[in-house]
Amino acid sequence: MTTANPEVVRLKVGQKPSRETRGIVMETISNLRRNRSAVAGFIVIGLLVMIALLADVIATHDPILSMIGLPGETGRLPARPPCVALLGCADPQHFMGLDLNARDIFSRIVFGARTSLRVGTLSVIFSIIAGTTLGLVSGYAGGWVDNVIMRLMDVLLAFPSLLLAIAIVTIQGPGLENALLAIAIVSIPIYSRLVRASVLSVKEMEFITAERALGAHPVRILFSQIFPNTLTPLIVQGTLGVGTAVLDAAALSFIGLGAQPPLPEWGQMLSEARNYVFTAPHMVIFPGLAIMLTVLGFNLLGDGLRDALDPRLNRS
Amino acid sequence: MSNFVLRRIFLAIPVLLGIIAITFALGRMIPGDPCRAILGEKASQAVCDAFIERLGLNKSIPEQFTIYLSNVVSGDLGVSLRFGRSVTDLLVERIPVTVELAVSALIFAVILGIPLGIISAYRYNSTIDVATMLGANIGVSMPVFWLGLMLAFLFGVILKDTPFALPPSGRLTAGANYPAFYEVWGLATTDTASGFMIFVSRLNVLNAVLTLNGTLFLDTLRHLVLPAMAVGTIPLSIIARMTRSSVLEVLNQDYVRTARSKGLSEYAVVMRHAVSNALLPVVTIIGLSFGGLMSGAVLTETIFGYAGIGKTLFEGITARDYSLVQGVTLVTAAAFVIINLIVDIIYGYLDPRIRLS
Repeated sequence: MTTANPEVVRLKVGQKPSRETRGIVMETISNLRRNRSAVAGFIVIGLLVMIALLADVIATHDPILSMIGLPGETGRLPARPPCVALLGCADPQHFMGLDLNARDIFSRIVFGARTSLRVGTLSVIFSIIAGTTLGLVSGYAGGWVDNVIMRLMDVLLAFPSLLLAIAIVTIQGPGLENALLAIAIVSIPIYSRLVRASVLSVKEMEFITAERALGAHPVRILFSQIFPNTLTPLIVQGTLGVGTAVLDAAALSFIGLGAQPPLPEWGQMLSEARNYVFTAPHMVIFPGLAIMLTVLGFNLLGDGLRDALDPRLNRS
Repeated sequence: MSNFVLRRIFLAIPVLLGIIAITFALGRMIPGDPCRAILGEKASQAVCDAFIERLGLNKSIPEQFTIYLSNVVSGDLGVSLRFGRSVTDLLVERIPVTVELAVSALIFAVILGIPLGIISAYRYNSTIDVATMLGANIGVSMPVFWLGLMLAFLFGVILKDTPFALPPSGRLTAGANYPAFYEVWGLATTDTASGFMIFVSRLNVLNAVLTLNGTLFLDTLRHLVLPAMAVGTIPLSIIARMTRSSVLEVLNQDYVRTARSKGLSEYAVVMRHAVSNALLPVVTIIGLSFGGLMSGAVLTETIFGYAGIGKTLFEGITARDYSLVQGVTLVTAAAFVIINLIVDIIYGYLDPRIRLS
């Protein structure tokens, strides 16, 4: 990655809070712009969000409509390979071909972006809210409260996360909502540990003692003084977390526990196509590429944010 | 040292109990009538009464937990609805298949990942470094089941008639039948073999060595390559990144400069002074990779027709076989804890700073 940038540190010294806040934001943006992986990640995610928002415009067909019996569609339709007019294909154009039910794969992938982004961000938001609350309470209260919460988190972390999610969804019943919840639950410990560590590191600092001496309520101290200090690692971890959540959601859908047909979802598309990889590889290649690019985008942006937001953080 | 080991083991016990508690809680969360959910809709009232009695489902939650705990400790994980057998017996048969796959995947990841990490760190910011890190980023972003499908397509279809073709499915060539070591040695027959013998004999590579069977050995390896590559790619990427950052850090240390300035060969500086110290943190990652390996196995075994616990779990999920899903979750989590315990102890052995702190 890029080398450490001394300017951020310089800005933090001897400036008024209002200017400093703006300074750090601008500084972060300029740091991000210099970071190749962050820029790449940002572009990928930006495109993806656009695709998801404009899915109705971009998609060439209805994602759950079978082409069988439609005017102009002739010949054997199910699992028909890609046909692009620019490449000299005279049949009706389907950029990524048709799936087993003769639905347009390109349109399904475009609409799948909505599903994946929604599941990814919602599950991360949910686990950040739960994890942050637990971490703040645990770190600030200390004592037996801290012990109980953290031992519970240790136990949750002891499970391979995807397997625990599988177990939860199997028992609660398959479906996208349950999958989303399960993914959120299994990643709570990551955020609660992160927040707790930040709380512990700032709790004993002088500005907190000063606040306490002024008679501020603990809840106020917790949310207006301590919480902002936990934001940097949360933003980085949250960005990386969206990638993991997208991957896990695809995995759950792949084994039939997540999105249910006919909802266009990438993991579910792969699940339907799995037995046809030797005869109709196009049904497998495109949804997988979509998942990979999405996750890659979030991973690159997360890494870049880590470098840009705090040059002191460990880079790996 | 023994103090350190005892303390670590002592710390792992509450976690193991916690795992059992969570799996127990999962079982209690089954919606609706637990008996009909577990035994199927057609279970008669008498069967259900006996079932409820046996699991103590009419008792209080603490009592139920005690029963569950004593069942688990004595190795009783319930009966699988899908297979109509005890979950424990099923796992004894299926775990070796997954262990063989996970170990092969880990070997693949370590053998490739560590050298790639070292080279990337040594040639920091060179083409090979950038390419390796990009590759590692792509590696952790790929769905492992998709990679499995793509590998099957590449080696089973595109390279079909070349020397690189590999079988995309199964553990052994279809129809091939190799004797287990206990039969060859005259210890037991298939019907009388103990659980341990079955476990060992299902590790095909080990069985091949024990029976000195070269054909079995090669056949197993050929079938292992693709699934191991699929499952091993994520650990490979993580190990390469960890090794790189760890070596980078060490290369800037004073003692490395000292080693250089006293005129040691570049090889001695990098391999003896830098790398041997840099690899310590990588040991921890290998332990932590286990979770990824297990999830990977669950998702890829079905693709490659590998009858390990991943495929078993998959079949259990489709049949909503709660006991099986619970059992597999419990056993893998416990194995995860124990493997990390072992890694911790090895780490403490290698690095005195850890065990004395």
